[in-house]
Amino acid sequence: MKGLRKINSGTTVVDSTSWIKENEYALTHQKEIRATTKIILKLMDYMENSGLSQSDLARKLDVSPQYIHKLFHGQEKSFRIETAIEYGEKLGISLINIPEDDLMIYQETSMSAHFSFSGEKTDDHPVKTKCTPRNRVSFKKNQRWTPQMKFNFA
Amino acid sequence: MEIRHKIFSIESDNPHKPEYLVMAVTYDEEDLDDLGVDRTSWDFSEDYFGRDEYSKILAQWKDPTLLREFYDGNIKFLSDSYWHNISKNRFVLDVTSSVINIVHDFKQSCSNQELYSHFEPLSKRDESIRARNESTNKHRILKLKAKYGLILDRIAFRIYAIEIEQNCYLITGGAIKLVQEMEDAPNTDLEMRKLKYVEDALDAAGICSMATLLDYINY
Repeated sequence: MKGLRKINSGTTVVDSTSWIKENEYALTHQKEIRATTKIILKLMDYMENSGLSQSDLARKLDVSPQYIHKLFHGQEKSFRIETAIEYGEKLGISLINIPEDDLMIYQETSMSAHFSFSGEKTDDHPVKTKCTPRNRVSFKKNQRWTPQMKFNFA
Repeated sequence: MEIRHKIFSIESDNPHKPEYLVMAVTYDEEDLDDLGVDRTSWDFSEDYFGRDEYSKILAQWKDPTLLREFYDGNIKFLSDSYWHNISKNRFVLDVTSSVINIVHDFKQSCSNQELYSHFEPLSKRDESIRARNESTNKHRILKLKAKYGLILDRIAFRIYAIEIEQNCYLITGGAIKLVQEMEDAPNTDLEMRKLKYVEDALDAAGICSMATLLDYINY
């Protein structure tokens, strides 16, 4: 350290309390912010692995270098899903993945809901149905039924 | 060096004397040079130069480019088993996600006027100053640190401040703590130098209470 530095006196106080309001937004949008950061990191990985500069990337995405700068320095708060898909298409990469397995679960659930059962219902005794050798279902009158094992539709 | 950014206050009936005041230091070019900050450092960049220390650390902890560079520059610490060889992207995601909670917790501490208990003395010397302050009516300024935020479930962030009085604080900086001993990592070592630097400057300016601080600045 070279010597004692002085504090400027008589400076007008600046109100820098905007961080409080900004964080209120962030607190209610944590998932979006995390997802946006993941997309930004994918773009950065792509840029580095392809040996591109920020200007090169801006050209490929048809945006300004200033926008890329803001994006890569965490100064852009929102990132629309359409934009992520559009950028992914322009770069030939996927910026948003929805695993196929997840979709299959929804299909299975949907098919289960439309399955019809044969068997005799009584007030309090579960019955075995004859639909397939393995699809045991228990249900009671006036209650929601729950499959005890998953059906195989393969 | 300037003390002009008010980052939190609880105003009182007297418009010139708040009930609770938290301000942050802003370093100029000469300060950063004196502190030994490299000219190629982010602190000199357009994005961060001239910002008060509180808003600067928040912005830096949200900046993926800076955090990736920070990771690369500190790979010898982060590739340690203590950090479970955390990947670069996981590190950035954890830091950027944590900032939101850090800010929330800090705001709560300010609103509840709890910085006194949330911040702890930096060194043994500061501990004894606090003990003396508590046992006498006189108040001497002391250096403090507070722990916030998680990376891989470890409390990894520090905010540094000077307590001018129990209701008046001055933020001097903040850091991601990488190793146990602060002197062993360049980023936390710099924060210790900042604290001493500001403490000396306050001493020289005769600022030892909220009243003397308010006299010094145009509140």
